Amino acid sequence: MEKIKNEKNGLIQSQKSLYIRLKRINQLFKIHFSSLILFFLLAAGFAILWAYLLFTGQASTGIAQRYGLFGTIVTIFMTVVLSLLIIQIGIQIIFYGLFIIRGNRSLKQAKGSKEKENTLYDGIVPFISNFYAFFNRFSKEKTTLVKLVRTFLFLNFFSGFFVILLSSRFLDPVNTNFLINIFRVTLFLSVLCFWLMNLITSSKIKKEIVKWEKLFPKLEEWAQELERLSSKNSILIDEEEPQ
Amino acid sequence: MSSSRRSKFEIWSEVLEFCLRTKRTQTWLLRETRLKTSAIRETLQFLLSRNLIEQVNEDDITKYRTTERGEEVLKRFYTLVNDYFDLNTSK
Repeated sequence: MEKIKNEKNGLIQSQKSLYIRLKRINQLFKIHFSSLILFFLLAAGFAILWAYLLFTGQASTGIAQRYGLFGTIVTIFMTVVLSLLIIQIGIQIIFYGLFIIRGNRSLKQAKGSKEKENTLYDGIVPFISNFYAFFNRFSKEKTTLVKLVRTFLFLNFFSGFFVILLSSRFLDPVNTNFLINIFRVTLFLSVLCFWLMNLITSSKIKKEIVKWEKLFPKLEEWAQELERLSSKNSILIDEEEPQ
Repeated sequence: MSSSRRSKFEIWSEVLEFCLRTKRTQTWLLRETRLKTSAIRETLQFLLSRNLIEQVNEDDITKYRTTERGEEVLKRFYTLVNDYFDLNTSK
């Protein structure tokens, strides 16, 4: 009886530490997702301001006056990069959204099932399955999830870098009123802040995905062990059953 | 397994975990695991044959519960994930 109780406690303990770990991973994804949404909204706000300044001639005139033809090229470049930034963040929101919804559901299920201190969790394996499905959905022969996340990180870095660099250098309208100027500076600083936050969370997620990529084959091995298991032999076998 | 999109470890560990706390019916498992009827039958058959779950009849309803052996196997699954991350964190 004591042995059974201890075994149960061991199982609860394993579940508990795994639950804490998965919760932390989920938290990272949630922070990244929130930063993506805020970054998207800020970039959209920035695009609106940029369009307003362009249409009222306050941005392009200043740039063109200072830099001539180069200024016009920079204006076009800035518009293209800003659009690309918004599009790629939008794609990332869709990309992570479904995974986060499912992951949250699994962990809520686990949290809900844990009413008392010494009861077992539900929903730990569904979270791992969700991760595996997410991993498999984007892992083809030529691309892997890691490569995809790395591409997102690269795009985030470059598009964000150019938008911030160009806007800090050229979006300096002297004709705009005080309110627009305050709005512009606030928006610029917020975009900069969320861009940095996004880069940090992106690189952490990349590291996490690399770890999971290596873990899944080990879980496949666990399944193979079960296949080798007969109804009578010991609980865990390390070598092949004799034929 | 009939379900081509999901791997064996996902399905087996999920069923073992679901039947851990409470006895579950096939219909409940079918709904939660989102598998085809043939796939869930195959899974249950596999786990029963390995003595990882047991069949319990309650008011003419067949339910499934994870056995001690199943618990041990599931514990190994959790430990595998935990140990793997511990190893990588300590590096």
